[in-house]
Amino acid sequence: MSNPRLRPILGLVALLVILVVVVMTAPLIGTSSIDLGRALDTSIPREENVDRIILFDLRLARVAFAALVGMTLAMAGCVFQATLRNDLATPYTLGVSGGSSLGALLVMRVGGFGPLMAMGGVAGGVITVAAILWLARRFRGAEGTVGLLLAGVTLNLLFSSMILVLQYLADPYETYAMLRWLMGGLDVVGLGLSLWLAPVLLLGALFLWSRAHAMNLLSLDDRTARSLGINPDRQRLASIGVAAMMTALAVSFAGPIGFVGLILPHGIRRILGGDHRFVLPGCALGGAAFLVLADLVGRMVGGDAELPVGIVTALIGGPVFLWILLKKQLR
Amino acid sequence: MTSVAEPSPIIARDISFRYGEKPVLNGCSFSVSPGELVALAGPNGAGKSTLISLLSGCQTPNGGTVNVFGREASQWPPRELAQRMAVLPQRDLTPGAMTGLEATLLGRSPFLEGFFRFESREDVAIARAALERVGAGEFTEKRLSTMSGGERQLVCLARALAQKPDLLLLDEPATGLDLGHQQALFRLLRSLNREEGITLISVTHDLNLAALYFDRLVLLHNGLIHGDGAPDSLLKPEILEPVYGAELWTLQTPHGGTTVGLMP
Repeated sequence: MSNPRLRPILGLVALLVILVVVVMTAPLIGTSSIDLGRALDTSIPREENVDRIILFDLRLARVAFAALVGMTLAMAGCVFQATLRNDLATPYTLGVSGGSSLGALLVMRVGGFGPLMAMGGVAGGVITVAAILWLARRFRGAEGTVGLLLAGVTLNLLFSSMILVLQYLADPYETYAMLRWLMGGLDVVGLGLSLWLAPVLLLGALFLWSRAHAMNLLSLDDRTARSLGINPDRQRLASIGVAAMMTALAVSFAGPIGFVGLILPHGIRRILGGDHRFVLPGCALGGAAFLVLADLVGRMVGGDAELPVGIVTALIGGPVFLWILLKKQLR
Repeated sequence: MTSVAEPSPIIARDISFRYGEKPVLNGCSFSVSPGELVALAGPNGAGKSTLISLLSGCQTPNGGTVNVFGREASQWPPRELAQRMAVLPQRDLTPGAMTGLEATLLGRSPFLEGFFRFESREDVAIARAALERVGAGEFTEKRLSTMSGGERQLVCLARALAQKPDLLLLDEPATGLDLGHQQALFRLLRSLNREEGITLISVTHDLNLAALYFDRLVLLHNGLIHGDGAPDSLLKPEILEPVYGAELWTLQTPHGGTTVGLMP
């Protein structure tokens, strides 16, 4: 008899290999070709070594940032889907990303930028998370998950219209800046941001992984989950709270990037099965690799004016998700 | 020397419960001793499922107390209670992608340790034994989505057994099962009670099943306990007709029991 754990473990190993290969090769590809030998040559002074600056400060920094954001979005999507028992639930559908965007753009409107915008984004995300946690208390139990989802969709629409108001009131230059930010972007300079974000996001990821077994039980129903030894309400709130905070942090630096949290978990579950103790790390590895690749596509396709990563993920994710929905319907 | 007596599995005192304004239970008192085999019956809306939900600590009564193994049901930490009591839900929502063994392993949840809570070899052995015990040994590798309703029900029961419970609550376990599967299931439940000493309380719609396989029948009506005793003593038209609002006949069966049926 075959070991049922063999397949998910092999799947995880494969995903890890894919991620390593993608992270190693992506920095080597770009519109301006670089001389790898020269880039790694430490005898040339840093300021004079353009190849080195492009490889490390621009491309590698960007790849590291993309991997972190991709990991966060895919894991958060998976957590929302598992704990709310709904294939369409993600931080996007519940308005967390919308809240973060609104917060960041409000700061932009009053003249803030960079870290200030990020703070606005986190604040917006935190307020939305608080609202969602409050709503989750009101919509308790299995029937409540649909109500919670509808409330999230409504929150999202509300945030979208408020963002439209901001854009309408802004001058043309500002409006363009906002629009560009809303398309999502991973163009960071230097590894500083990633080095600061990495421990926070990885700690969050580890916490979510430790809740994986509770998520397996939550996929039954609340009563059964309770009879198997967990407090469903408490587990759901803890997991959603952490996943949403991680998303708010990622969104406030990268802008809202859609579809990663929606399609990645679906794909990973197909490969690894339904056990979240495997699916969650799978989403972390797969999400990281996916977003680095999507950003690479954006850098390649657009030429000098590269395509924002949010547009790439939407263009790939939209049709793929429709295809998944249709296949489910036909079965 | 007096030994500390094992607390009763269930002592319910004067419990009442309302859904909003609608009263469901209006002061029920009953207790269940270790090793009992109890059927809980009554018409639709009598409060049977609510009672199971109160006994399992999912909800708190508006009045009265529900004591499970010496402690208020809702005060038990879920993990500790799950190590002593298993509940078989009315509807099973286990993802169809799981195999029989994976679904059964969920029953080991309250015993799992460590950061990632992976099952040990011993847990797997217990789950396999539970599947064998319910006669579902061949479903180990089979996915739930390819099983029939009766087969899934067996896997659910195996999951409950994997919890190694002292007390097993079942909510209408015979729903959707044909006669053959009903007989197999209730014979199995009876043997679990007799051989493993599991205290068993099952909600059932079917009074004849209650009479055939259970030692005691608790009859609920309008949120009150209308009758409590040996099933044969309660299967009488004068007791049942006002409860169900139906015209009934009863008959002695060839093997000394009682059966109840509808008047045409």
